[in-house]
Formats: sequence, C-alpha cells, structure tokens
Amino acid sequence: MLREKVDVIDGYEVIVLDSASQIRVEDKGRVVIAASNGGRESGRAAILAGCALVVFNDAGVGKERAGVIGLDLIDERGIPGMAVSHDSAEISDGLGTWNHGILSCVNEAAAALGVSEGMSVRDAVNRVCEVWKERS
Amino acid sequence: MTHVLDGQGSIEQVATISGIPIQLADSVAFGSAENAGHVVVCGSHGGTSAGEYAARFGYGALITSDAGGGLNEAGVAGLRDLDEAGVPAAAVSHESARIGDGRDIWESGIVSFANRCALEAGVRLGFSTPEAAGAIATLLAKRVS
Repeated sequence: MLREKVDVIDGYEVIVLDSASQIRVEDKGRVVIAASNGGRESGRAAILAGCALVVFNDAGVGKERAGVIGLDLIDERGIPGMAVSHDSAEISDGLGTWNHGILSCVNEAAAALGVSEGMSVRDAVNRVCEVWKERS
Repeated sequence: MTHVLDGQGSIEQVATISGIPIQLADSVAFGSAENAGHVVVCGSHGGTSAGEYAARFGYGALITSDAGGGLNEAGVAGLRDLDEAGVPAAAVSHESARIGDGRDIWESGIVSFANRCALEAGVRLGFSTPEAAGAIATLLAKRVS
C-alpha cells in the first residue's frame, strides 16, 4: 500500500494513501488523500489524526449513503471532507484518486471553502489551500 | 509509525461453521494473524488493499462490500487477486448492506461477486452472506481435514 507526499501547497503537505487505515498520528494538520470508502471508519481515522482536509472514494455511495457517511462525521468536527466518484478513480488507488478523481460529494465544511461537486481533486485541494492562505 | 486506528477496531466471532470461525469486523484491517484460516466478513471494499490485508494476516476467506464496482471493477480487484493464493473471496452489493458496517454485511448482504475459488466452493450470486460463508467454510474444513 502506497504512502507518498505528492505536493506541498502553501505549506500544507499533501499525503496520498491507498487506504485510510494507513492514516498515522503524524498526519495531523495534513491534507490526506486516502482511496478508501468514505464510510464511518475512514471518518474516524481522519478525526483521530486531526487531518486538515481529507479526500476519500464514494464507493458508489450505496445503502443509506454509507459510502460517504464519514464526511458527515468529520463535518461535525469542522474538517473539510470530500469523496470522488467511484467511476472517476479506482477505489484503493491513492495516486489515481489524486490525479484523476472527480468529486461527487462534499461536506459543508468543504463547501464553505469553495469546493463543489464536479471539481477535480487537485483543483479542490488548491482552492482550499488558497482560502486558508488568504485567511491566515 | 503508529496508525491512528491501531487498537481502535474490534473483530468478533459470530459463528462457527464446519469448525471454521466466522469473524466480523468493520474494516479488513481490524483482524490480525490470529485470524489466519478464518472466514473474515468485513465492511471494507474488496479493492487491492483489502486483498493485501487478507494475504498479510492469512485469512482463510474474505467477504467484503463490492463498493459499487466502480472504475475497472476496482471494488473487487483485491478479491480477484486472492485467487492466486487459493483464497476464496466474495463481495456483497453496496446497495444490499452498508459499506463500513461488518454487522450489516453479515445480516443484510447479498452476494454480487465471487472469485474463482469461492465459485468452486459453491458460492453463487444472490446468496446471503451466511450462505456464502457456509459454503466457503465447508470447503476450508475439507482442506484442513
């Protein structure tokens, strides 16, 4: 399973992972692209680590929106979260998610930073970092 | 290097079929080498990382969500990979059970994909998860006897 720092945008490190189970304590404050489903456990990992922003896969959304329910959980903590369409990037492929992912779902914290469905992951992450820079 | 979910997840035995333990977990990562040879039913997708965890821990079989299939059927790619190691694996439709919820995969899941080893064990599309686990456990029991 891959772990790679793919970029640093305005001081924010962008970490790409194939699975949210790879999220580590030192990912606090980082932008984390994790190619897992955006379910409950993925959300919990992002909260436990204190990630600055996370991107998951929507896993086709599915029954009771379970594939993106983790975005609601992290929204409660004010963490911007988004998911890519499972038809735009392979689930479990972190680099594919970063390079090709198209957003199908964004939480309120992400929307408040200018992110919307249909954006590419790279555009969305750049947008958020830009807003953070303006506000800092 | 500490992963934040280490020690945060649980795995629970829900049944024993033909002497083979059936384990439930919300994530494939919540098991360990102690589950070698067991049938692990989990809330994860069946992508490549799920296959890697199953191989690492030596699971006897794996049942996951199909994550809607998705690009290049990536949602079950790891289950296909497990065929090479002779490990039966199946996925349930993401519309039948909540991804990320091992208990719902067990109680509500309807099989939408089975790898070659699972098909040889008698698993068929449309099986409930306990039916699939039963067929697989019977095969695993024959292997160890």
